[in-house]
Amino acid sequence: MRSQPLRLFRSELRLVFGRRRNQALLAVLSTAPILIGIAVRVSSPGGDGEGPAFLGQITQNGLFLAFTALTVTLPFFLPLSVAVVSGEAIAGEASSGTLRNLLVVPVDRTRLLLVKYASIVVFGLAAALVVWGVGLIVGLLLFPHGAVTLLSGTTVSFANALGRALLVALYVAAMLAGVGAIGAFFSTLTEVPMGAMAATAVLTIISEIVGAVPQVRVIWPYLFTTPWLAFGDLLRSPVPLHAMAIGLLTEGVYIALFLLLAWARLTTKDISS
Amino acid sequence: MPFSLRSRWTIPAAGATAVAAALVISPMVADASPSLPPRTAAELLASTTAAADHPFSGTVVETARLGLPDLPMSGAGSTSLSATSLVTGSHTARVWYAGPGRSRIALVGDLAESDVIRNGTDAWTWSSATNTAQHLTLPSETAKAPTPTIDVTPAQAAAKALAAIDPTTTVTVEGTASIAGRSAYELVLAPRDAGSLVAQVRLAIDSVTSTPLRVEVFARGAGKPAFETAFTSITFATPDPAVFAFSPPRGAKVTEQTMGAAPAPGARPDAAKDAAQPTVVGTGWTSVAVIKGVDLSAAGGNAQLSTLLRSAKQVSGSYGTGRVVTTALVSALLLDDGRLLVGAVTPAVLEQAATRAG
Amino acid sequence: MPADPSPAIATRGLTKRFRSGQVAVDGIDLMVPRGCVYGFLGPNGSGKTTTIRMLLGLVSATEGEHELLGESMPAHAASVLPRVGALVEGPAFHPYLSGRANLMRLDAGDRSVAAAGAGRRVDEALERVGLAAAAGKRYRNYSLGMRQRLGLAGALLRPRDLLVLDEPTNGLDPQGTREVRTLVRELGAEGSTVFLSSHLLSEIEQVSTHVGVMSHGRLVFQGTLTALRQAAGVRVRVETTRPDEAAAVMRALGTGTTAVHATSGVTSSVVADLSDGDGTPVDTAQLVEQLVKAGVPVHEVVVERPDLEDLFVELTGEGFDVDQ
Ligand SMILES: Nc1ncnc2c1ncn2[C@@H]1O[C@H](COP(=O)(O)OP(=O)(O)OP(=O)(O)O)[C@@H](O)[C@H]1O
Ligand SMILES: [Mg+2]
Repeated sequence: MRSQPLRLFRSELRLVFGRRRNQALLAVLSTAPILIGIAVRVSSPGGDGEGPAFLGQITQNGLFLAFTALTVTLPFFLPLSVAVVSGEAIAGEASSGTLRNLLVVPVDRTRLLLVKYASIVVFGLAAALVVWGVGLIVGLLLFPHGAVTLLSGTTVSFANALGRALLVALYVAAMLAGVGAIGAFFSTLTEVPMGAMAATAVLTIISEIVGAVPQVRVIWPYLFTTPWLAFGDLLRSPVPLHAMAIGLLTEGVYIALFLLLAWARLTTKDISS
Repeated sequence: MPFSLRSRWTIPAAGATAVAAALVISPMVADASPSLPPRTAAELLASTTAAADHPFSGTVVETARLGLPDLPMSGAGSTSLSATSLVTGSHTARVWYAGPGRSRIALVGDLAESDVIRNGTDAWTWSSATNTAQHLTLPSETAKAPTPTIDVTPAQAAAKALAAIDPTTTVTVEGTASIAGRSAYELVLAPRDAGSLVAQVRLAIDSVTSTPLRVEVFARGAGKPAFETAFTSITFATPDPAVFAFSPPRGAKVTEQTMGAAPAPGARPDAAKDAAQPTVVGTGWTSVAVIKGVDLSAAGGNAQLSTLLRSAKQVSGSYGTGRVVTTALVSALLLDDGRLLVGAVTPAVLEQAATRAG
Repeated sequence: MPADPSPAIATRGLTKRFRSGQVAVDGIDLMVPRGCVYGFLGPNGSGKTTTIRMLLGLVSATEGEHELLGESMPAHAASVLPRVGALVEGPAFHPYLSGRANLMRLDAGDRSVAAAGAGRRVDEALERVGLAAAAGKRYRNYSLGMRQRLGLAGALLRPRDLLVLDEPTNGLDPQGTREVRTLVRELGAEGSTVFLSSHLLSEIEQVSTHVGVMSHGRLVFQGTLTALRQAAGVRVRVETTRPDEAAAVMRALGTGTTAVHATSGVTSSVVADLSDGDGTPVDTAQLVEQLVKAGVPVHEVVVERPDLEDLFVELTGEGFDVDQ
């Protein structure tokens, strides 16, 4: 009986990861590092300063393909895939009518929300790790590897850099957990999963646009997208923790607020589908 | 029952209120003026100039509101870290200081970094975006002398402001401030000359180490500083020596230079460089830099510069004709004969200087 | 099972007013004794499903309160609902999961059972509704009847004290309908209370012991099936060539509403309620004797027991429009 609370969570994970649509999302995400890797491989080396960060370094060290792929997918593709899964969470069950089955089992509504959110977080982590892992494998297959030059110009061992890269993926997953909480809330508002997905994706994009307009710089610190790129600090020496701590705090506040909203909504909602 | 269900919404509402309150209150707590024993301006100035070198490491945020057009920043990794980019927006630098001959400044951008490292007779610059390093070997007698670098640390900016203190400046101590968790006195320097665009320069000086923790430059009639550089965190402890040990990474382009020796032929194929050596007209707050032989067509590709020039006002006088650009803190007069006059002064002062230097 | 004084379902003034202002359920007082099979009847839109949603805590009641198995809801949902199997408004499952996987998921949500028995519980439930052969098929490929059966299997995942089944025969073929009927009887015989909604009286009539009739959100009848039959009343029809005299004799004997209908041919029919509502019913043998004595030619005497269908229509109103 000890494993009891995890049964529903495991069932939820099977549902999320067993779904073809979500598998396709992960597959699409994994093409990002593959495409970048092939493009860099076939194009002539050089052309520094252009394109996304680290692009120039890939030819010298395949590990940078993992960083480049995360940098390229973080603004849009990663949050989009989390928006899809989180928008689906409650609204999907409501639209198929399965929500009422779960609730009369009975699955407590608070527990359902927590289980759903936990599986969203796991999916975000999986998405980040897929981009990271495929980037790493393709990078090591196509390019040389060895010691890595950090942004600060310091050179660290390959193992050290690999550890940093893993922390980058974990930080990215934590940022995606913020998107997931917003999506989970939207998902409690509607019985149309597409609506919740679109609202989440649009909110993310608006936040990113606002975060690029200097005239509204004063609100930048309060946007949930602002701290996303702070993962670059893991590639400095010594590693400054302040910006990433602020980033985790910002996402933490967003997660807490949106989960409370989702909870207030779900536990008072009439399930009439 | 309907009430208890409805009342659930008060919980997220309370959470949001708590977050909002924390956001409002925490800066107020941080900004609360600490109470410190009173000091006169003279005492403060003396302690600052006589301040023993305290090793430290910290983070500095520089913000400029010069009134230049802001352009939306594009995607990741595009933040340029050149020194000229310091005149707009907000920038973060990490600073380590272990003594006059050992320091490091890292200008931090999104997924990019530019470093200036001084370690005894070795000086390095490093740019991650271009993957280039410059190595400057200094004569051994200068091993302990301060590095001439960009004025991003409060210490450097304060030194400049203090150098400008002369009979044209009123110096007062106006209260205290709390910066990066430390208590500081606020020293205010105000130019007397109405020709200066600067209304006042406020220095926040650490009450224990006398290290300047913040410099704010206020333009006339502005409520917010036009330029501000302040520590957001600082620790007074000798940094890890590894921080100053720089060796260029494999694969980086490295330029070697020895101080005193003539630059290698072709190392800097920049002919305009010699022509553009500035001369200074005037003194103190109203000094004006005059640069000759400025060719704007060369800068045609720079979007920001051409936007600026389009907004420029045509002027003419006994010095000839030209265009004047005014920002909150700096005016520039570009004459058609190729002279460029720049200063933290009103355009009238620039025109006078142009006539005198004519 | 031990006699438990508390009813399986009890509601007091249960009301649902939707945000649109519509009152879907209007102050109903349900009383479902333990161990009975309760037929919850009502035309489309009369509020049956809304009532069931309130009973299970899916929808919050605007007013009123209710208890399931002696415990107040929704406060004690966590302890009551595991003992309640439910099928609400037709089956609903994940289309891309197999029937078996869908049931495993429901079982996984139940904290009151051990994980170890999950496979056995699911297989037994599938067996019981005759779905064992199609257990591995994706739900999206199920026929309407198979879906309905899977919904029932979900309600039967474990032994239940109360089953709340909303139109369980919807979409089933005659054979499936009969199987469900048998299943409901079995469940009743095992001691479970079954609360069964339907808009088909014939279905309820065959399995129920108790009946509640909904109309426009109100509970217009509640009681045993026998009581319902009695309420229906028995009528007598007399075919005669002298209807007016016949009617006079019948009224004298104390029949209820008595009316003369002209029929084709020579005779007319006189129809009368055998009871006027408060007295004892008129004895038919005595009626014939009196008619003959009075010299009324009696061509035909028929005692009519109107089927419940007519009563149902009478209770809930005639017409093609749904309750709304
Ligand atoms: N979520 C809702 N919002 C507004 N009105 C609703 C809602 N759900 C049901 N109704 C209305 O409440 C009334 C009762 O509906 P309900 O589904 O309970 O009827 P029913 O007796 O189950 O009908 P059927 O036999 O067709 O299943 C209907 O008029 C319906 O339109
Ligand atoms: Mg219904």
